[in-house]
This record gives sequence, C-alpha cells and structure tokens, in this order.
Amino acid sequence: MTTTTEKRFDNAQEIIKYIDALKAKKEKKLQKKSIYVCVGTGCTASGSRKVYAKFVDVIKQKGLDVAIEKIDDDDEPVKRTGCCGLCSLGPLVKVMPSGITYSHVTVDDVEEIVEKTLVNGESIERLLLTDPISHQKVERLEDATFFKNQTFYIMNEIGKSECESIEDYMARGGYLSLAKVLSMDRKEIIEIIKASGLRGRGGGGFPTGLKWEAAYNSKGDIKYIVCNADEGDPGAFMNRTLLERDPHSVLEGMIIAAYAIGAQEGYAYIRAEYPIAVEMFNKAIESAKEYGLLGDNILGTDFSLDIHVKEGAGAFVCGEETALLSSIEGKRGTPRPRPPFPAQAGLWGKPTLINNVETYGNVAKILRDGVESYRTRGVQKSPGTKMFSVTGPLNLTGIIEVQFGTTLRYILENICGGTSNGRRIKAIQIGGPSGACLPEELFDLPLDYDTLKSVGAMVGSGGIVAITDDRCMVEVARFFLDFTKRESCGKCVPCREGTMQAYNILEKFTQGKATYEDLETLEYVSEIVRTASLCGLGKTAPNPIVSTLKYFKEEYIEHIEGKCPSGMCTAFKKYIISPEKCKSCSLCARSCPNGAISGERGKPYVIDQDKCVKCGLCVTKCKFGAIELVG
Amino acid sequence: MKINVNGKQVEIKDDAKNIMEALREIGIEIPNLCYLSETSVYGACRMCLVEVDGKEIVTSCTLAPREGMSIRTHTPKIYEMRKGILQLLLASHDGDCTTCEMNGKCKLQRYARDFGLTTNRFATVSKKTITDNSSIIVRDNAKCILCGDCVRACEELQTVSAIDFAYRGFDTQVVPSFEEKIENTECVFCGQCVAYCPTGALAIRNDVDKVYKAIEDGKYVIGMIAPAVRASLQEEFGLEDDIAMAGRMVSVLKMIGFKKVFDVAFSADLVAYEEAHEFLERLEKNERLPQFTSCCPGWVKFAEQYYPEYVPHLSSVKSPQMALGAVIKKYYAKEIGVAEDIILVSVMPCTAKKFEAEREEFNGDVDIVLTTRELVKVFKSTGMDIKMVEPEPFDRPFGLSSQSGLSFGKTGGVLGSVIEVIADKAAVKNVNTKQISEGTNLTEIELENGRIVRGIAVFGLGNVRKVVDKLKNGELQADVVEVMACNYGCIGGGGQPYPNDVRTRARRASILRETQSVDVLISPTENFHMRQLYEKYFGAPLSHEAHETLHTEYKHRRRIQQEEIDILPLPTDDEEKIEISVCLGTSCYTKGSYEILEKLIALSNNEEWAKNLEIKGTFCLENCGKAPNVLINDRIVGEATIEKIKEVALSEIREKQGDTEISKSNL
Repeated sequence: MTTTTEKRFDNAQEIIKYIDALKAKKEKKLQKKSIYVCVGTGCTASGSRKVYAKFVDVIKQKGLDVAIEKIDDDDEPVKRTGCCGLCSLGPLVKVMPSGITYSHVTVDDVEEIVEKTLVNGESIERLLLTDPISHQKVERLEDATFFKNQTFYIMNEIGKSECESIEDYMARGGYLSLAKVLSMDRKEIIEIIKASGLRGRGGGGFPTGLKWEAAYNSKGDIKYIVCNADEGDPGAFMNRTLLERDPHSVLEGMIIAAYAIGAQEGYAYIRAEYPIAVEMFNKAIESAKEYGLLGDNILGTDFSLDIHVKEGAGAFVCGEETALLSSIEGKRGTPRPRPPFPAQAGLWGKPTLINNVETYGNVAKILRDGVESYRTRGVQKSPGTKMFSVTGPLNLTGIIEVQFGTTLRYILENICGGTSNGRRIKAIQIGGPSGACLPEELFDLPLDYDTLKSVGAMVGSGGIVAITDDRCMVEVARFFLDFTKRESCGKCVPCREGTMQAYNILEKFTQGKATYEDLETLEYVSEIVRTASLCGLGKTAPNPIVSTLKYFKEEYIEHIEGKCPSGMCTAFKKYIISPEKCKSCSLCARSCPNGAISGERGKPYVIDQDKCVKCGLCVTKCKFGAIELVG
Repeated sequence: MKINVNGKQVEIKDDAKNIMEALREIGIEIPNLCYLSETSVYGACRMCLVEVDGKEIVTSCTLAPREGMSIRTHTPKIYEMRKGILQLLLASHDGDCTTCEMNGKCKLQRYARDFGLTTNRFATVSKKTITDNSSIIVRDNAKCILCGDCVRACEELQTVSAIDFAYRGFDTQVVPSFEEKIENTECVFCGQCVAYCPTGALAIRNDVDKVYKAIEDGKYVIGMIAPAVRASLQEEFGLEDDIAMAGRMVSVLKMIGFKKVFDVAFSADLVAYEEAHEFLERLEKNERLPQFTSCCPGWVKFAEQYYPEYVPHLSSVKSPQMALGAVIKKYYAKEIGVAEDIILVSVMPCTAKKFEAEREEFNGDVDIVLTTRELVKVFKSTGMDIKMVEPEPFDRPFGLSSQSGLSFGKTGGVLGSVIEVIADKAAVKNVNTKQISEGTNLTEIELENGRIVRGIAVFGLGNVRKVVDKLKNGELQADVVEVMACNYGCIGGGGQPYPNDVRTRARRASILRETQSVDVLISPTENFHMRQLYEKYFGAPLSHEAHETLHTEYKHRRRIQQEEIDILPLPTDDEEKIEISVCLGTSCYTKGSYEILEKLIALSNNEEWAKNLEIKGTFCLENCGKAPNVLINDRIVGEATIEKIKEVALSEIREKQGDTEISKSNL
C-alpha cells in the first residue's frame, strides 16, 4: 500500500501522467484471470457478499491467489464491482479474461466456477443468462441482444469496474477532466456545458448550463454545491445504481461544477435507505481527498472544496430541491416558494447549485470527450443518454441506458424482451408516481423531454412501469395517488387537501360507488392541484389521473356503470355458490371469517353479499369447486 | 414604478416587497390566508394567485414587482381556483361556526361568504386533531387551516418557537414538540399566535363566566382597566376614536355589578415612580445595570428562560397590574372593611397577564384577568349601546393618572415615565431619542452633572433578543431597558380585538396619545393620590414597606433542572477541588461522553494532580449542538475530549493556586 503523502498530487500534469499509467495497468488487469462479483444493493440482497467471500476462500484454498500473477499489491484475484443494472438476475459474477457472466450465482456454485471457468476457461451452461430477446443462453453480457441494443455512456465497463477503487476510475479516464478544467476559465466551462445541451436528469429537464450560469452569476463569497440523490420514486433506482457502481463519476462532476460556479462546500443528499451508495460515496470522498482531488488546494491550485454526505430521512418531498435544502439545514423538509431560486438564495440563503446524480455523472465525460461526442447520442433538444429503471411483467427488468429519442416500443421489445406473462402491454407509466400513463398508440413516440411533455408526461427521474391489460387503469391511478397523498408534505392547501380528495374519489371508483358527478369533481380537483400547488410534486401529483382520464376514460365510465373492464377491482366481483355443485357440507360456512355464508343441511349454501369481504377463503376450502368468482 | 393591473396603468411603490403588498396600497386586497407582512413569506394557502403577463398563474406574495408587468387579479380561472381551494379547506374544517370563538371575525368564514359558497362539492373528510386546554392559550386543531401564521409569529417575531408543524401531508398539525401541552413549553403567553390566527384554531381562555359568578355570589367585585384597552375598544363598536371610552367602560361595568372600577394607569404612575428610584439607586451603586423593566410578563418569562443571567437585572418592582392588586388587597380592603370578599378583576390587552396573575409570587392578588376581547363580549351581550352610555370617572383613590401612566400602553411609555420621574428628581439637561434598529429606540438623557444615561425601548421579542445579545457581548451599552413583548407594546397585545395588524396598532397608538394629551398631569410625581399612598403606607420609595408590597423576585427557568450524580466524590476541601460534570444526556452520550467519563475516572485514579477532581454526571447542559459537553467549575467545554478537559482543568487549578508550577511533565 502506498501511504497518504505519496498519493497526493499537487500538480495537474503529474496526475495526467499517472492516469495514463493506470490505463495501461487496467488493460493488463483485464487480460488476466480474475473474478468480478457485483456488490450493488440488488445483488447484495440476493447474497452476493457471501458469494464474494466464498470466492476469496476457495481461491486461497486452492493457492490461486499466489499462482495468479499480480500486477500490483492491490490486485486481488476477486474484485467487487458495482451494480450492473440487472438486479433481478443477481448475484452476478463475471470471469475475466473471457468475460463469461453468470447470473443467480449461489455459494454452492463457487467451486465449480473457479475450477471450470477461472482455471480452464469453460463456461457453465446452467448459470449463463438467457437473452430475453433471442431466448438463447449467452456467455458474455456484451453478446446479449438486450445489451447491444442499449447505448452506454455513463454506465461504461459494466461488470468489470472496481466500484471502490479511485485508481480504477482513473484508469477509465476519471479525473482527467478535473485536471483539465482547473486551468480553464470558469465561464468557458459553463459555456461547454451549455453547448452540450445537457439537461437536468432529476425530472424537469432544465438546461444544466443555464443553472450553472445562474449560480455563477449570483454574487456571494460563499456558495454551495449540492447533489440531489434523494431518489424517492418507488421502483426507480438509477441514482442508486450510478452511485454504487461509479461514485467517482458523480463526485468528479460535483467538483467540476463547484469550481465552475465558485463554491467552497458541497453536500450529497443521499437517502438513508441506500446504505451501500452512502458507503461508496463516503469512500469516494475519502480517496479523492487522499489524492489531492478534494479538500484544500485541489491539485495545487487555490481552489478548495469540502463535500459532505447528508443522509435523507425518507421523505419523498425532499427530492424537491428547496425541500432538500431545508432538510440539509436541519429544518422540516418542506418546499419554499420560488423565486428566489436556489441559484440566488439556496442553502442558508447562499447561492447554491443543485443537480441530480445522473446530471453530475455526465459532466466529466462531456468535458473529457467533448461536446460533439456527447451530441452524437440523443436528439437535438435532448442530447445524450438516460438511465431508466424498467419494471413490470417483462422478461427483463432493471436499469437500462438508452439515448434520448429511443421509442418506448424499442425499450419494451428490443431491450426488455416483451411481457413475461403473455399479455398485451396496454400502457406504460413513465416518470415516477407523478408521471403519466401512456397508451399503446404512443409507444412509438421518441422518448425525450419535449415530446413527453407534449403528451402530458415527463421523463421524470426515469421510471418506466409496464402495465399489461389485466391491470385496471383506475386502480393504477389510485395506487399512485395513494403514494403522493401520503408523501405530500402538507404545506400547501391544493396538494395536502386535494390529493386526499382525489384519492377518496378514486377509491370510490375502485369500490364501485362512483357517479358521473365524481368524475367531474375528479377532473376539477386535478386541475386545482395541478395549477395551484406550491412545488413541482404537487403540480405533477394529478398526472396519473389526468393521463388516465385522457387516454383511458372509458375505464372510468365502465366503473361508474358497474364494471371493472380488467377484472381487477374486486368490489365489482362476487363469490357465488353454484346450487348444482354445492353438497351443503358447510365447510365454507365454517371457514368464512366474517360469517357471510349460511345454509342448512340438504340445501345449497348461500353467500350474503353484504357481509362478504371477498377474501376468497371459501373457494380454497370447497372440495367440490362449487364457489366461483363472477363479475 | 408603473405596472398594469386589470387593464389599468397604476403607479406602485418602487420598493414594494411583492405584488400583494404593492396592490394593497392601491386598494386591492388579494385574498390570502397565510400572508403576514411582518414575517417571511410562506406561500402555502395559494389563495393569492394572480395571472402575470397573460400567461403564468403565480402567487402574488412571492411575485416581485417589475416595471411594465401586467397583472390580472381576478380572472374566471383564478376565481375558480380560489373557490376550489376554499372548498378543499372547508371539506376538512370544523364548520361549527356558531360556537366558534372567531365567529364573525374568521377570515375563512369571510371568504366563504364573499365567494358565495353555499355548498361544497367535496366530501367532508375528518382529520385527526389535537386540542389543548392546558393553559390560557387554547388550541383546537379541528379549526386549523395550517397557514403557519402562528408558527412564524412565534418563531420569527418572538423567537420562542414553542410550536411547529408535526406529521406530514393530510395529518399535518401545529403542536409543541412531542405533542407536549402548551403549559409545559417555553411559550411566554404573549398571545401573538392568537392575534394572527385567521380562524378559531387558537383562542384565549375565556374567564367571563367567573366574573358573573363572583357578582352572583355577592362578592365585592373591583375592576381595573389597563391603558391600552381604551384605545382599541371602539374598533369593536364601529366608532371613531373616543377619548371618553374609559369613562363609558367604567359606567357599563358599574351597571353590571362592579362595586369599584380603578385605573391601571394609576398604578403605572406608582410603578414608574418606584422603579425610577430603584434605577437611580442602582445607577449610584453601579450595580445590576442595565436595569430591565418588568411590567411585561411575556418578557419576564422570556428573560427567565433565555437570559437567566439578567434575571437579577429585572426591576423588582411589580407590574402595574400586580402592584395595584397588592395595594388593593393589602391596604384598600382594610380601609373599606371587606377584605375577604374582594374579587379583583383586571381588564388587559394582554394574554400573558392571565399567566402573571397566576404566578405563585403574587399570592393571587388579582383574581380574574379579562382581555379586551372578553370585555367586548361582556359589553355586547348587555345590548347596551356604548355610545349612549354616559361616561363616569374612575373611582378614587386609584383613578387618577398622569400622561406618563397612560403611556404605559405603548412602546416607550415605561421608559418615558421613568425619565419623567428622574427629571423631577435630578435635573435633566437634554433628552434625545433615535431609532437604532427595528423596534428599538435609544434615548440619551444628559443629566445636569454631565452624566449621560442611556435608555433603550424595544418591542417584539425577536428584536429584544437581538438587543439583549448585543448588550451581553458589549456591542451596545445601556443603563435602562424597557421591553415590551408585543409589536408596538401593549396596544398590540394578544388579547386585543381583531384585526390586530400593523395598521390597526399604529391607529391605537395615536388614539392613546390623544387620550393622554388631555390629561393635565404630566409626570407620575404629580399624581396626588399616588403621593398620598407613600405618605400613608410606604414612607419613601424603596422603603421596607414599599419593598414588602410593591417588589417581588423572579426566578430562573431552566428547562431541565440540574440533577447530578456524584461519581467520584472526594472528601477534599472546597478550596482545592475542581468540579467536572460530564453530560450523560442523549446527545452527549451518543457522541462519546461515557468514554470521556471513564477516562476521567482513570485519570483521577492514576495521576497525582488529578486527585482533586470531583467528577459528576449531569443531564443536558443545553448545548447539544456541541456534544459532548463537560462543565468544569462554571465553564462549559463543548466538543470535549480528555485532552481539552485536562487543559481547562489545569488552567483552573493554576488560576486557583495562582502558581504555574504544575509542569507539563506531570501530565
């Protein structure tokens, strides 16, 4: 191990040389035998850390740790890599130099992998992953269709980066941009970001360069830089993935941004439910300090920056920038009216630049590889790529990265391999709980900020939920409103009271109690919440209602008329006992938790519909298949 | 600056804070339920939406005026939004208006009427709500619309922060932390939260029935009326200013069954007289300066809580309410021979006066305190037309007052009165007053001997905190400081009629000045009946008898009582020992105070010089931000480490022994 003093660089030229040396070393590393185990949250949850430990044990036992030639002292044969985005397939293991990738690896598979794959280079058929599109087993991730169909920009070197190692990040060209920009004029950096057309990845898609410029132009000796990593959308974990797999890319983006606007202190606001991301980011901060890339006099210049991690306490609204700032200040996390914008008066009233994790993740690469290269991906007004988390009954779910302008249909079919339950996808919900539901007719629209906005949807943080035709759209709206209602901070009237009213009305729909008047009131209240709410969360909270009313209104009307077209809302169904099949054994009546079934010997039993809670227990008890669900 | 409002060019002030205030000046009060001009902008009710330049709809409270901008304040869309917001609020609001304290005064009720709401298209939703009747400030959250006015008044204007929002979304409530009852919080009972509450969620405990009961029971009911009450009562009766208002009040109270009605302005003279002498004595001895006034019970509690070191600096003279109470119960009762049966009712603009009357220091001298609003209820329920009631003078002997005594009702009054008395005693060459910061006036009094006495009058506890902090750190010097907890003094008290806003308060101040101006007596010294009281009972100011009757003592109010556990109690003589208390409260414990304690014990056992350490465990030094904390003798050591403690302890030893022989090698 080198010591702290040896690692510190006081000069940009020296670190650039050092990075070149590391690049060569990394190439060599990838050419030799080694194993990369994913230790991201998804794989950890399915046991990857035990798998990792087992690999270390087995390799030691077999003496391979000595046998495999080391490039340097830190070069262990088993390495921890960050999230690959394929969490449902975890734990994932990649064996180098062949690149053979295994999914669902258990501790019991370890010996076999070491013997067959690591030592002999053979692949193990049963552990290979199945390409959701070709349905063929594939050896290497890079060979899979779903992988080839994505456009990786910020998620590079999937499965073969070492998430905890700053040197690995540098070997991939990391911190070159920082070394470069420190000798540049601040305005010049901002101009490059403006020219790149990078837009905020947190939801609104505000041009990042303009945000930087505003923060730069704000007068003040003290300025702050903040990273918004309070990713609260249910089922969305792009930010977590990025922080876990490549924390330095985000950190470098923050340091560059801080330099550009003239900030001396920064905060990464990461939700506490992401312990691994917090750990990775803290480690990244520590190692950046050791290398003189953070702290006092960065790379020997007079630019100093300190960055702290602030763990969020779990409120969804703290993802809203002004609420987030209040939370960092130790206050109740509620939004403040804007203006003033954070760029004018943010943290503790000082000019503050706040960007999303993924936005920062793009910065260093744009500055390193240039605006042109960045703009080769995506479309004119939404250049670059976007990470999406895709969930729903699809053959492949998880994190994907595509360029803007890709269609939904392409994602659903060419990356995710269509539905896994054989049903038709009738809608997708995009943009988190306050996103919109889009019908199949719109699946061919290019995904970018402006096109989505034009159909009443938004990119949001990048959650995509596939909804198949067995799902009820009213229930979907109710589900999301339940979330926004509970996560409303309670400050402004329209959001606090309006989401509650809207939720109650939606519940009336799913319970079969709604009227045409309710439909009108639902539209009315949605309009109030959308127009009059204080913050972005309130303003977008009715989106699930507005979009389902726009594209799936007939489902609402059918609910009023007494039917749930998808058959999902149980309130419209009833259990009945077929008089022909009933043998009056009384088993159902005895099992009913609510005493809804009665009858007497020799006669068919009957269910009192008013008492029935539709739990379905009687169906499981009946030995004659006499009870069925109708409606 | 010129802007276009509803199609018309209008001129607004260049320095207007926002469009809401700018338009208020030109006669458009944009509907709002959470705007307080004195506090920060909250922007939560969303009622004040306006349309800007034909496009955006934004809140006017957050909208900065811009030359040439075009505003529409009342488009059909905005009208519909406001109606919608009102209906949303009403759907979860306890709409039992007839039994609400704010019936007829409620802003929500007014808007519902103005917008012609007869039905609500939203279904009623019930909320979990909290009620609190523990103190004189009564809260019923079923009526709360979460506008946050009370929270901001408490936090920003008064810097007390006794209440805040708790819970989230639809479950949000305003409560003291941990849902504690108000009586157990740091609330100083200034009632500003009540003054600003637009609905009936906050109210003052109503004590009117107690008065009727006393009359019914045949008690000898004596009333006493504070100066500020006569300057605001007319608001409730649709009258212009009426300098005979005090006399009409006396009349009505007599008709109801009060036996005597006295003027608190009389005892204001008494207090000013006594307090001026107290001040001159302290000035001469140069002790306990600056002297702070203690007429305002909100301020007294505030000082007891946050500035315990200044508690000895408070004037020990009771407030006019309690001083008159003591005089009546002690002497007057005997004079008229009804000692047991007297029920003393004071009428105050102030909510904290109810709290003051119940303080144990005052032995219940004042039995019942009514606020101006309660008095209004008493009067209105009689059906008497106050305009037609013939005024009647206050009863003797406590009916006479000087201009000074009357001026106690507004900021600067107490200080002014004290200066008057000083002027009567010691020749004053020059008096010069200027405003030095928000709500703060500095008066320099040049005495004949050339000495300059500096007096400060400050109102609003937020301003007070700034002034006291500056006095503490030496940025500001003063010899005497008058403090009033509410903005503009007692005329803006929490018990005054609604609305109780800046404009109304300014109006009351001018009425009070007018009322004063017809008084022929200028200085308290001229108050003949007051002088008689001295002749008969006290002898001289600051005499033993005066102390017995007119003076009191205030106490520290630490939130947490000092409770200590002896850990290493060593039988050393007091000269030598160094007391080290390690805080074992939650914050300090989690930051490692227990480890520090263990190291200290080891230190004391192993090192010779440390034998004289008396180690104790304590709970909360109220410095949690700098945990772990250790108290070494009287010094708080924050962010303590064993090394830091050693250093401080050694320097304490050195100071004690006055020798520097303990060399570093002993460590």
